[in-house]
Amino acid sequence: MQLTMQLMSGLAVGCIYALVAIGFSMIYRALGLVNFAQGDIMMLGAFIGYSILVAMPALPFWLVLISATALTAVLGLLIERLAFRSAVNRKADQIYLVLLTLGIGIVLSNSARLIWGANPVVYPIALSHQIYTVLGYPFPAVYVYIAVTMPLLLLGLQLFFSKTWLGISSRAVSDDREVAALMGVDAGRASGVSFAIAAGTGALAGVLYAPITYVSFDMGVIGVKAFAAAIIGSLGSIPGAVVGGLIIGIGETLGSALISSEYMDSIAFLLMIGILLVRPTGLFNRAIKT
Amino acid sequence: MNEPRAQGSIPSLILSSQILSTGKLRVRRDWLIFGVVMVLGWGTPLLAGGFYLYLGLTVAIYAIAALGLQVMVGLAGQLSLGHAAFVGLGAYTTVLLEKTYAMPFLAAAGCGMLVAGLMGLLMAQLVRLSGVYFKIATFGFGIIVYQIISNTTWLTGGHVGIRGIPAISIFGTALTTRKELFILEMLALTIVYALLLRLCHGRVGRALSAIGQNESAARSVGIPTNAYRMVVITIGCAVAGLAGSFLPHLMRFLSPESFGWHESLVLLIMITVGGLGSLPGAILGALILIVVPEYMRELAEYKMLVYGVLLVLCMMFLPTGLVALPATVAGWVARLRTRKK
Amino acid sequence: MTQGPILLELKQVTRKFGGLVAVNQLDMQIYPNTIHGLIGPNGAGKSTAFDLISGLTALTSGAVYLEGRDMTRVSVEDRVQAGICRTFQTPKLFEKMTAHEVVMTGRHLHGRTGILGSMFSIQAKRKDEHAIAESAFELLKFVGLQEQFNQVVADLPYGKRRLVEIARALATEPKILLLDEVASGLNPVETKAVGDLIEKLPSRGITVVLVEHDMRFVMRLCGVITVLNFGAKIVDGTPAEISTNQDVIQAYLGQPRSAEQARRTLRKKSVKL
Repeated sequence: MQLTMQLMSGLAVGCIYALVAIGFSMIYRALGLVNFAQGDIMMLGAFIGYSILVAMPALPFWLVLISATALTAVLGLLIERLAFRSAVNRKADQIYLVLLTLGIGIVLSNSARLIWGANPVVYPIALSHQIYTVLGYPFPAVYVYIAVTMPLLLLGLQLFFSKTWLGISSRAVSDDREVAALMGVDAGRASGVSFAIAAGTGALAGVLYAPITYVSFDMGVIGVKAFAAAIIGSLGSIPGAVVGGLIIGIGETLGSALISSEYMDSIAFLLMIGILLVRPTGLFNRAIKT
Repeated sequence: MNEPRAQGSIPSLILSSQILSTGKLRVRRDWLIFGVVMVLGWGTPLLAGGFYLYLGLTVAIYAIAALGLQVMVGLAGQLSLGHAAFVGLGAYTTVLLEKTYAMPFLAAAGCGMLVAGLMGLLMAQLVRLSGVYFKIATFGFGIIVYQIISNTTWLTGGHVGIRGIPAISIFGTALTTRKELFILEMLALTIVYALLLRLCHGRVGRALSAIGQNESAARSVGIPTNAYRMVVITIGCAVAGLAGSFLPHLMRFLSPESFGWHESLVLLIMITVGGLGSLPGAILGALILIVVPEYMRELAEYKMLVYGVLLVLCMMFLPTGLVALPATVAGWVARLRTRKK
Repeated sequence: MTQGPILLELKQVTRKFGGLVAVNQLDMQIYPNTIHGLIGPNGAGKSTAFDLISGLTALTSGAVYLEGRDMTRVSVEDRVQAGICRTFQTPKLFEKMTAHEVVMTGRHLHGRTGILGSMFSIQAKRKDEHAIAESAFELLKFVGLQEQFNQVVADLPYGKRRLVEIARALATEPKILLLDEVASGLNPVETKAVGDLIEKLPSRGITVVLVEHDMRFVMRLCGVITVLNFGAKIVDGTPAEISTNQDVIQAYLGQPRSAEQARRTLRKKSVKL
């Protein structure tokens, strides 16, 4: 019984990691960028959701989810436009791009601390405490939202990237920016779209995670473990990001229960390093842009 | 067999000395800068004393760590996101050996460097991984080391930390004043700076620079890239360990908090703001990132935010760092001039 | 016709990428102090063959022998030490370095100062650096770049960047130099200069293999030419033999023609891509 509960919560957390990892992988594929601010974008989405709830307490959770995601996506567009566009276009060295994202992450988390305060906050809705009892197991209500959102999102992404012009052109830009430009694709807009979607999925992660625990300005560290998830699943692969997220989520929960909870943060990276030693390019072996 | 024959003895001699002197000019310039930095570094805190001495003590330690990181990242392109962990390894090894075995400082610090260097070598085994994967692996490594330090409470005291740091003992004498500690730190900084500078000038430095700029091209001329990557990472981490050995003696206290993710980030910001690839730039970066917040005590809340904004602006507009400021500004001026036309 | 022992041999070398066969059971023999051409229509597998010889790509099957030694499991760096050096279709330089410094990196294998030496020795290091700088400069003179030795390579025009890369490759004192489309992107003056340079190499003991699209260039310089199509060898031969070979003509042009028509068309085909 304990084990099933552990597995459930591992799966739920794993989905959160997966969401952040998807955004991370997408940005890497679209811009060749390792976005260390992804976790902080998730944090921002969570806080935006919080503010929406404070302003409109009666709003159904669905709407909070969607509006926070949309707002954060717009923010993502802005960040890409202002900060990344010029750097990616001048083919800046990897290290500058990494430091740029790190800097943006710091700015986001510290701005959040100044805006919303240093104390963690809880979503002021019933969902934060609601627990169903399913077959005798306690089942946090928010898990339902997670369980429904994940497949919907994956389906939506799949459709977007294969059926819409914007999606297809984004893929073209990911694969070869210059050739895509030659074909008339607006590389800037496509990257912006990819970034916006990645920011949106990060926000989804944040808003879905908030009812499980709380929201604080330094919860971006969770995103860092999502990097390990994206790497496990091979950078650039969306299904890989999902699998990686689940592996880490379950591995962490089981590991901390069975071994020790103090080393929980290390488990994600130990798993990652372990898998990389055996499969240096991750499990899904996607062709990586170097 | 393959040496092209000389085109004409006397003209080529003249030309040869010309080209050799160009290389030597660069070397001479670097040592001149070294001299200036050393004079300022030794002189200002010792002569001005008080607050300046206190700042100097902290800057010197981080400058040492930054120098090691600079050679690793700025020169050879091996981005490490967990560097503070190696500073921590040096700190804990030194203090534990001093307290448990009453080991004199030099030996203990040596062991600290050894431990940090060996762990660096361990992490360097991950160089088989390509680019991004390696970076994130270094980050993970830093987290794992930090957690190990924090959680082996029987050894390290965990988050409670270690107090009662013994005074540094060199050849029997205990260093009790700040001045004495500073002199020791500056000796270490001078030696590290000089040795790393010598390393950069020459065949190995050139190979590292080649690896940092285009790894596959470096391989295509026979440079054993994996071996050199491992070596430079080990050196960078050992130097971090040396810096770490001084830190607890300055703070009179040791806890894992000083060696986490944020501190790794600060070190990276130091070498970047100063100028990636430049040794004096690393020292300049350390100076700025330590001194400026001291004068902004009231705004301590905003410290990290300012760091972040600084970093972003720097990456967007001044990626070559402050040491290259004159050149960058000259470039802007030139571009403005052509646009006006 | 004695040519001496084979310098580089490819035996049944094959490279597959999933279902695509890029190089198909290729046999090649390259003799010392020759200039050997490797040509074929686009996609024939020429650059892949270079990747296989230089070690950038692993063989799916077959073997590569340098002076009888099996190089199949030897790394790129070690192959350079053994004497195989290549240039790239687009020059891969160290952008922040000067031309002189770039060529000096090519002398790495022939330098002696190690890490401890760099830090602690004075005389030995100075002598070593002196030797490296001198030999690198001599190579810059050889390719005609002595004026630009102190210019940062990022600022050099394309043609000169190519020359820097050649000088760097020569600095490794290769036994066999693989030049990948060395004439592409060069104007006629530059092309002739590079050709003159290459002509001098066999007399210095350097064997050259050229992958090229420029027919005139290949015909002028090469003693022997191997023609590939769809990853497999069509034929080996002298330039005269190749230009009249029906299979070669068919591969390039699509239909059999008279020898005279073929020669005319191939001469016209000095199209630089």
